[in-house]
Amino acid sequence: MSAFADVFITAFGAVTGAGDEQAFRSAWLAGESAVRPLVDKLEALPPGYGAPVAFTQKELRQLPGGRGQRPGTQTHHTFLAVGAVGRTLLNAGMSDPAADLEEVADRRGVYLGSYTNFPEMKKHLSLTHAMGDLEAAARGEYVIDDSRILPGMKGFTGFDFLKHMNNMPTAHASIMANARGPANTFLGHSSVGLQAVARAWDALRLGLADEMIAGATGPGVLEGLCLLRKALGMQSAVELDPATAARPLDQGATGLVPGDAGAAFVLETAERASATGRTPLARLAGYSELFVAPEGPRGPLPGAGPILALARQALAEAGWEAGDVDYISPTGAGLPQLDRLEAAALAELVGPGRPFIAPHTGVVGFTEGAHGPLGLVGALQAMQDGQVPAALNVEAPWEALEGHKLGGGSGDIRRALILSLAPEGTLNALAVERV
Amino acid sequence: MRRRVVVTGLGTVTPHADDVDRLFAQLCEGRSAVERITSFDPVDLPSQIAAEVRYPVEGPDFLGPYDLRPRAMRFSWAAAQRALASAGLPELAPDDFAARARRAVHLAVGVGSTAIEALGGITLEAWGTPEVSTKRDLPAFRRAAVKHDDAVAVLEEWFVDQAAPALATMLGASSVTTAASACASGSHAILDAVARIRLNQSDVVLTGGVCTPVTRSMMPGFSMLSALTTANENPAAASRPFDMDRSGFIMAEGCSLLVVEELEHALARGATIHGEVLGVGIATDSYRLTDPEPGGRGMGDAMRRALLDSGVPSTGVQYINAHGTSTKMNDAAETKAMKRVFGGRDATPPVSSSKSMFGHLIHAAGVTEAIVCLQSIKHGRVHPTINHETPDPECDLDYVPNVARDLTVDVAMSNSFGFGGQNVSVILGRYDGSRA
Repeated sequence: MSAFADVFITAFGAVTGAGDEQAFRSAWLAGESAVRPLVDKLEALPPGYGAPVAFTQKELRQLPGGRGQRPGTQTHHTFLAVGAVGRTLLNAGMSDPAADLEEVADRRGVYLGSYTNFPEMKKHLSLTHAMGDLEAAARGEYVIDDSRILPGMKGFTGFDFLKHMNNMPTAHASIMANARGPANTFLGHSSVGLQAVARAWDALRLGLADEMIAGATGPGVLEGLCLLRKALGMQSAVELDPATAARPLDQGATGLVPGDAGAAFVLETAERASATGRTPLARLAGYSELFVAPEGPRGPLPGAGPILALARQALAEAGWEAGDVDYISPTGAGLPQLDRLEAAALAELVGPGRPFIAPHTGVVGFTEGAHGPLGLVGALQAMQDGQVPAALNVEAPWEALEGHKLGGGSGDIRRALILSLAPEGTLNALAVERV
Repeated sequence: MRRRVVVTGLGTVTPHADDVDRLFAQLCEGRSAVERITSFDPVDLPSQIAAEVRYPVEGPDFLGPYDLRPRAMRFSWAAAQRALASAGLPELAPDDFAARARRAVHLAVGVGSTAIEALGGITLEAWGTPEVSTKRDLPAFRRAAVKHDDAVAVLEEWFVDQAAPALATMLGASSVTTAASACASGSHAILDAVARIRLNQSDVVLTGGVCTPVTRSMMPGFSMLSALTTANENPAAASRPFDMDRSGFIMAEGCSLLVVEELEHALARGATIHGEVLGVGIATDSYRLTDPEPGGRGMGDAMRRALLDSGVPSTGVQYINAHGTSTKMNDAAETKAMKRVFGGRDATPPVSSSKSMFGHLIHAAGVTEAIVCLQSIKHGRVHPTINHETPDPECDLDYVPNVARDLTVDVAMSNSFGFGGQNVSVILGRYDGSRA
C-alpha cells in the first residue's frame, strides 16, 4: 500500500441518542448513559429501553444541504445518514456544497454503511394485515387474498417503497453533499460502517475521487431489528435499569441494547486537504476485514482467534506493533458470547497496562452499522483532547481484561485501533494515526 | 503496473435459463421471458406482468448455518454453483488461511422478500380482522409479536445480509461485502471487485447481484413510481426500449455472478478466460431520487470515465449493452449521453437492450448484461432490441432492432444506471495476452 498517497480524515460529525458528536463526547466524559425507557411511538418495543436519536427534522434543515431533505421520502436509516453527513459538512466548513464548482463536485463521493434499509415496517405491516382474507380472518386464520392488495395500499405513495431501497441513504446524502463522484451503500452486518470507510479509502487510493464522505447509519431502535434481535435471543433482558443495561465487556451484560446513531467523516488526499485548507486530524494507517462462518447465522463465532488475527492484520498493514497503540475502541456489544471472545483477543493482543480500551456502547447502546464509525469518532476526540472517558457500566469485566485500562484517564493519544465485530462473523478493524 | 482483471467464471439464474449459453441463444432468437405473473395473482394491479424464474431451481435447504429456502438465497446458491464450476477453482482447506485471505465475495442484494407475510397472523391477533380494524397501532402489534418468536425469526430473510456470507463459505473467502446502488448495483459489484484486485487485496472475487422483486408489495409500489409499464395485454411486447411507444420497465428476478481474477493468478492455474474487465467508470447525478438528470450528465460521465480507465478510445468499442429500461426518461437521456461520449449518432456503435427480453433484473441487471457482453465477444453476435417498431426522434441510434446481428466484438460497454442517480459503466474486452 505504500505506493499510494496518504489519506486523511479532516472532519467528522455524528448524531446519537445523546445528541450530536459533541454531546456524545460530553455524555461519555460525564459518565451519563443515553439509554432510557422507550415511550410514545416506541412504546412496547423490546427490550423496552434503548437510546433513540434525539435529532430532529428541524435540526436537519439547518445543516448544510439540509433544506432540501424531506422526511416523507426517508426511512429512519436515511434520516440518520443525512444527519451525520450534515454534521460532517458543517464541521468541515462546507456550508453550501451546492455552490461548489462542478470539478469539485465531480471529485467528491459518498460511501455509507447501513444495516439494510428495511426494518421500518409500519406500512408493510399495514399492507400485510389488509391483504388478509376476511372469511379466513373470521376463523382466526391469516390467508392472503390477492384481490385485497390494491385496496390495502390506500394511503401509500411511491416513496413508501422507493425509500426502502437500500441505496437511499447514500442517494440522499450525495444530493445533500453535491457529490458526483463514486457513491455506494454497503450493507450487511453491524461491522459494515468501518467497511464503508475502508472502501472510501480505496476509492481515493484508486483515484476515483479526491474527497470522500464516508460513514454509516445505524438505527438500532427500530421495529424489525428489535423484534428480530429479541426473537433470536440476542437482545438485552427486560426489566433492567435502562441507564445500566448497556454493559460492554462486562460479565453482567445480557445482550444488545439498541441505540440509534449515524457518523460520518471527510476523507481526502493530501493534495485535496492542502487545497481546501482543512486540517488533517488523522491519517488512515491500516485496515483489515475477516469473515468467519459462525456456528449459527447470528453467531457465535468459533473462538477468539479470528479477532486476534484481524487486529494483528490491521496493525501489520499500519506497520505497527501492538505496543504502539495508545487507544483501542472495542466492539463491546454487550453480547456475552461475543464480548468474552473479544476480551480474550484483546488481552492476548496487548496485555495489561496499556493501551486504553474505550468502549462506548454503555453511553449510546449498540448502534448497528454506525457502531464502528462512532468508535472512530471517539478515538479522534481522544486524540484531540487527550481525555479517555471511563467505560460506562463496566463493573465486572471479563477475567481476561483484569488489569487493563478500560478508559478513565488521559494521555497523548496518537495511534488508535477501532474494532467492529458483528456476531454474524464479519469482522473489521481500522488503524488511524493522529497527524 | 496495474493488475489486470479477467473473468474466469460465469453463473446465472435468469428468467430465460440457468445457463449462459442458453440465455444468450434465446436472446439472439429475440425471445421474451415476460409473462403474466404466476407467483401470486396480480388481479387489479396496474402492472400484472413480469419476467419470473418459472423453472425449478434445485438445491439443498441449508448450507451450514444458512437457510437456502428463501428465493434470493436459492438463486444465489445456484448461480454460485455454476460460476464456481465454470471457474474450476481449487477447493481450499479450512485452515488454508493465506489462500482464503486472497478470496472475496462482493454481492449486490436488492429488494424483494415476502417474509413479512409470515407476520400476517400476528397482525390479525393485534389488530383484528382487516374489515373492522381501522387503527393499526404498533404497540399492540409489538405486544403480540414478542409472544411469537418463531414467526418473527422468519424476518431474518427480510434482511439482506445472509447471501454473501453463504457464498463466502462456498468460495472459501475471508472477505465479504454486500452493497447496493439500486439498478446500477450489479455493475457496481464488478467495479468493486476490480478495485479489490487492482489494490492487491484479493486475487479472486465472486461478484454479482441477486434480486427477487416480483412480490405483492414491490409490484404495486414500483407502479406508484410510474416506473412499470401497464401494457398487460401483450406481455412479450411490453418492454420496448428506445421505441416511441415505450411506457415503463418490466420487473424481473434472478441472480448472476462472475468469478473475476487477477490475470497472472488465472494464467498460473490454467483457467479458461472468458474476457477481461478493461475499465470501470462511476458517476453520480446528485440530481433527483427518481429521475435521471435529463441531459444524461451522470450517465455520460460514467461512460467517459470507464473509457478513460480502460485506455480504449471510443472508436475501439464495437458494441454497447445499454441500460435501456424502456422508460421515457432513461432511454432518451442514455441516448443523449451515448452520442455525446462517442461523438455523435454515426460514431456510436450498435446498441441493444437485453431488458427488452428479460426485463429489469434490478440488482442483478448489470452483471447479467456483462455476461451478455462476454457472450457477444465469444460468439461474434449481438442480440436485438425487440419490440423496436416505432422510431422515437429522441432515440435515433442503431439499436439492433428486432433481429440479431453477426458482429465481431472485441470490446463492449455495459451501462447500468440506478434510482438515486448512481451510474456505472463497465468496459469488457476479449482477452488479449499481448496487451500491455
